[in-house]
Amino acid sequence: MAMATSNKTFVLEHKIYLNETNAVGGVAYFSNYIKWQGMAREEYFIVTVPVWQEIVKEVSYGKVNMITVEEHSHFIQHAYFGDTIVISLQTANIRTFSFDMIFFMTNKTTNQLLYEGLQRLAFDDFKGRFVPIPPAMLESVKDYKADLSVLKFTKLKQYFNSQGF
Amino acid sequence: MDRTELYDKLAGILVDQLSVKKESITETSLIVGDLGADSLDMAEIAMKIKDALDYDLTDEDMKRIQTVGDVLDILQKNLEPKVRA
Repeated sequence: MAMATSNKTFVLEHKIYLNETNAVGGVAYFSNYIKWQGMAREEYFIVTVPVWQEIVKEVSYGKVNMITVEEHSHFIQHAYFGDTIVISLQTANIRTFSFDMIFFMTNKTTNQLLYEGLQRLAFDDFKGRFVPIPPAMLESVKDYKADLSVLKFTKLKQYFNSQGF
Repeated sequence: MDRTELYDKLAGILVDQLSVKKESITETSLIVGDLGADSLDMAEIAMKIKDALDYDLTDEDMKRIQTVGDVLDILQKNLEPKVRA
């Protein structure tokens, strides 16, 4: 289930299936967290950017390309087959050509924090030249901007501090 | 605006974009090697220079830039007579 909440945190729920666990103890394999970042990111664009289909067309025409330039993950607690995780997404570090997405993933039943992560998205013209964030997307990105002073990070706060935020 | 003032403006841009301390910036600082900029940072820095100094760094300029001093040389050359040595 995906919804855009009133406090401007985008939330997506996901149930973990067997094919997302590793061979040891039914624990969610680490690379799935990156996959879940991607799922949440795509759902966020679909739900919050009214003209997302136009932007996808621009990408298919080779006019604008969205690039993941950086990704950080901090794995805190295990998730298991059958768990439902709640993925929350907000934005940060909004600049001309890029912005960050911050992810927290919690166990829906226990509310335990499982994971925090971040990715930096940039835009170019397919010819190696960076271009500004598409205006229609920028509006939504600003709407979901995180207040970093109230977010409770464990490891990522060190990253943000090192970036001067 | 003299070269010192130009340096101060550029240093402010570099501090803001790269989260480095101003004391760590010198004219011989390699923007990539010493200050840690990547290609995205360079694009943002070029945009900030354009906003602050009304000069659009060309592709040729960007290829030439290695150090902070290189940027100052380019700006000094292209912003004359606005910039005095």
